[in-house]
Amino acid sequence: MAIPISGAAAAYASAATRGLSAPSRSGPTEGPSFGDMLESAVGQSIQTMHKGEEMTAKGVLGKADLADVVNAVTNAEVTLQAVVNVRDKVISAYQEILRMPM
Amino acid sequence: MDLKDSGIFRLMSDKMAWHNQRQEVLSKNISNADTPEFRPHDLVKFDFKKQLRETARMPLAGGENGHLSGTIVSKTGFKDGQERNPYETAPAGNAVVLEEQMMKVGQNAMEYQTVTNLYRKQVGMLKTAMTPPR
Repeated sequence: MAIPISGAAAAYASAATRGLSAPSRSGPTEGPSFGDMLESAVGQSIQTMHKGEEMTAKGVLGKADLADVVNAVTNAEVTLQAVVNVRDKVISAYQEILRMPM
Repeated sequence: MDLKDSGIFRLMSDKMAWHNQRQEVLSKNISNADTPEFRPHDLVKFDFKKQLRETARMPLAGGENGHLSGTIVSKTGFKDGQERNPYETAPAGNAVVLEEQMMKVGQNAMEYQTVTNLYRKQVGMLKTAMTPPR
């Protein structure tokens, strides 16, 4: 489970450094770039998913409080849905750009 | 794609199999509630590490058809143990306390439900990740 997720994270990170940080360097603003924001958000999401899985295992073994398990799993589910929705938006935006007349 | 390849799903289905077998043992206790000299049984507590060790034990390899296969029996179920010190024993030697067994059955059902709910959630998340972009 963990391997494809970290692979995707690495892909996101490399995409962020390659595609998005270059224009921000030339810009006048000095704050964190959109790429940095995206990277940290994705990192947090992955951590949430890991936490959900870990708490599921603990709950199955009866080693964790049930409320904590429910919390963690629900967090993971909502986070995953958010990530998938953002991905869909990005893809549809990309396709919109592709359809633009030259 | 086999879900059992992933650790968490294997853990959950093992736990569900454990609950399944425990239910069988408990019903056997209840059906023997009036059998003389009967002592109630219960499964050994579920422990994932112990479970892993049980399955990792390797059988003896044999090169010829007539070779003996060794003394380690390959077990499919979980360990079943007799109750050491039962709460009370009837004059006929029966040690089943129906209330106790009913409590165990209820606890078993509740934990089973927890695991099935967690299983459903995890499968739902997998499905969410697999939906094609709209």
